[in-house]
Amino acid sequence: MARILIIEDDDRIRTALRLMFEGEEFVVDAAASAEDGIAMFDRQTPAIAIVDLMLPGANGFEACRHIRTTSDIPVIIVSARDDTADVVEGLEAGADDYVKKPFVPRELLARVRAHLRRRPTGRAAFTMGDLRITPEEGTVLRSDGTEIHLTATEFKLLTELAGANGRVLSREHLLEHVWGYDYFGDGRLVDVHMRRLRAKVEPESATPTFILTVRGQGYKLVL
Amino acid sequence: MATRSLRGRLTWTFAVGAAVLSTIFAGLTYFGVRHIIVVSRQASDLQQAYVNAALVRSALSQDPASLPSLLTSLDAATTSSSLVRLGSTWIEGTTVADPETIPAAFRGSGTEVIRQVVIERNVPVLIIAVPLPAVRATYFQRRELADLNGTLNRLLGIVALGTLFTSGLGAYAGRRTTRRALAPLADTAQAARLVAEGDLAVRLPSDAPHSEVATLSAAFNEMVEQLVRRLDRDARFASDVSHELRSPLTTLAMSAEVLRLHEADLHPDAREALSLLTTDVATFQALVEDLLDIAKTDAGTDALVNEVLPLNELVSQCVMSATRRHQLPPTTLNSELPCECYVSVDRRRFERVITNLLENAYRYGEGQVTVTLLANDGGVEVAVDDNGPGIAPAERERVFERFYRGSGASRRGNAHGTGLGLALVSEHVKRFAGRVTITESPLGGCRMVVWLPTVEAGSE
Amino acid sequence: MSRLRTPALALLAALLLSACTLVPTDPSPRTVNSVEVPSGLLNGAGTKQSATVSLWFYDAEHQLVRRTARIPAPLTISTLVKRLALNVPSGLSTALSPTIAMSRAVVRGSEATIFITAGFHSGDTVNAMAAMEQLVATMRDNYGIETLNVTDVANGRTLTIDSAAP
Repeated sequence: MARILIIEDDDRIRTALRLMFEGEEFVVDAAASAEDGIAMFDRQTPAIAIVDLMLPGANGFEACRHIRTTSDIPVIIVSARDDTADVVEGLEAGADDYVKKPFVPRELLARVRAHLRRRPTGRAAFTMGDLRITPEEGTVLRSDGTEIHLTATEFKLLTELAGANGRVLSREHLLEHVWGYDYFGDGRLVDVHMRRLRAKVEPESATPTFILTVRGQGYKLVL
Repeated sequence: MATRSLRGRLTWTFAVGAAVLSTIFAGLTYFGVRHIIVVSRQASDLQQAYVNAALVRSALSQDPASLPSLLTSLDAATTSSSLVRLGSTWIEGTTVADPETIPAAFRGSGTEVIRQVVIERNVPVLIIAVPLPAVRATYFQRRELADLNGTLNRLLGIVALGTLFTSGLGAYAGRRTTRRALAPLADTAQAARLVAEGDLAVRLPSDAPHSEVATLSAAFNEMVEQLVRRLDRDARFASDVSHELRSPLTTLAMSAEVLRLHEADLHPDAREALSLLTTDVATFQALVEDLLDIAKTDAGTDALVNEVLPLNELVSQCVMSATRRHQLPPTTLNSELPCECYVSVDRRRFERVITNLLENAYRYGEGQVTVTLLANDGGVEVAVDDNGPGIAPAERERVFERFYRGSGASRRGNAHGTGLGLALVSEHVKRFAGRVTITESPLGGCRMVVWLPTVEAGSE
Repeated sequence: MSRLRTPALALLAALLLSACTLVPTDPSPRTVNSVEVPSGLLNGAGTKQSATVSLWFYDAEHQLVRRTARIPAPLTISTLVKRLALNVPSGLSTALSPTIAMSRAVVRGSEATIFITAGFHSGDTVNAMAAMEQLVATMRDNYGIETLNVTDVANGRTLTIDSAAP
């Protein structure tokens, strides 16, 4: 019984989303503004959040940032704008994925399920510099024992790269295996998340030593 | 009637005008000058004849024997030749002047001075007869006017040359003037061509020196501005309408989805109605997506993300993805490429192209669809064949128009096309520097061929 | 355009054609108003009724001798010839036949040509030469003639004589 937080200012869409997710056996917290949504999130942490970027008052970007300060849950943003800069800004604010209005309900459901389903299994623990990564537990520990918080998406990206044993993985491969997209996902999802991941695990994110970009092909992890 | 060059016509008019005017002036000048020269010459010749006649009279009355020598000296002093007739005796100077050359009209014994210009052996000759009743003699003076002819000849030559020169000058001036006068017309035509080719940034210079040209330029610029505003408004309208439709459409789609989740509880009639609703909402969503896509393409606001991709893999991924998403029957994919070819395309828009072509083939064909890759004309072709009724040659251009519905093709199934599918295909392919054509398929239906230029594998 | 070309070319052609007769000719003689004629050229005032002329005849020794006579004006060669043939002073003779007749005479400088129509026998060389000498002497005195041509219009023969100094 997963709890889902929906922040959407359009009453009708919010109601429809609530009805749909309730029909799919979710527990739905539906908020009409970023402030209400943040309050709901603080009261009880959901398993996943859907945030409309176009909100009155404090906008969806702030809601994303707030959620990201305390939680690693997947956040899917809903963008009604054509301006692709919005999508990138939303991803930079911490969102894991995005859908554009008008979305196909079944696609949104599929995205939500894909994000909830992910918990990498069967991968052995490995070290990267002074970091100890344990996929079974979903933890990243420094040698001094402090934990680094990776979002679910970031963690899955890291383990996917580690599983390739130094081979180059294309953006399409990563989209398919981390986000569950087929060949035609948005490569920017990968790039933004890769940037955030580097900021967390690389000693010097401007000059990465573990996660390397192979121009025109993709990414690879060098241990 | 063939169109004629306005410039040639104006030039010709200038030239002819100059020719006519200069000819008239030349004619007036020539005849006027000739008149003056001839009249003054005849007057002076007449005076000369009177003087000579007086000399002859006094010679005859005082010393007739001196007459021949007097005539000789007169002839030597003037360029004329003198004759004196005394009854049947003709007395001449040394200059040859046969009495026979005096016209018969002069032979009578007139009592008045007469003169006449006659032509002798192509030379004009002025003959003056002065009767001298005091000595019963008649004095004749012949004077050849060859020199006068020479003078007039030269005058005529100069005048004719002047006429020719003026006509030439007129033609040249006409050509120059019309070129300058018509240059704005040529500029406007060029600008109109550019606008027609889609360059809406073209404007004519507004600082034209002549008011007529300035008016033309202003009107042209205003027209282009209006056109741009109109196009912008149209593009924005489509985009705005689509935007406004998004939210209610999203609600509608999700409500239908909620109903679908509870399908089992519904009455069979309601279930059937729900099925219709779901299908049409899907069509509606696709239509809005297509409209937005087209509006963005028209406004030029969508940024292409072109990547260099291997065609074989790209097309097979596209076919797979389209088949899965749109629940299409399996499609045969053949490659006749001699080697791996690379194309530079926007991945998602290319998928859109293939998806639309496949949907179209399944919608109007009889269920058998193949995709073939070929190398051709310095590029590659993606040919989508169906075994439907095909498209009549007359309609082949038009099917790429927006919302064009073929006359022969009936819709099959309950999934409607948006009417924008092939229009989008055409727009996208154009932006990949390719082209779409329709031919007959070996399967019996129609073959849609997307031609794309190939690129080097390594290029970005 | 040929509609325009035609008159232009015609005009040019007309201009060129007029070059053949540059000076305008007169179809018939034109009379000058007599009041414009100066010096009283046209009135008969000062008409000389007679003139004194020299005439040469042969004497008994067949030598040419000069006589003067007054004859009515104007002094024409035909008058001279007639006087020489018909008015022979007594004691003298002439070589000219009394039947002599001439159509016209032309004096050009010091050369004169007389066209005889009758009464001149160019075949009779002795007589013809005598007549020529008599004529040229007379002509020399009155007209300053030095060379005389006599053309027999009947047979077209011409005799020429230079005046000998008297």
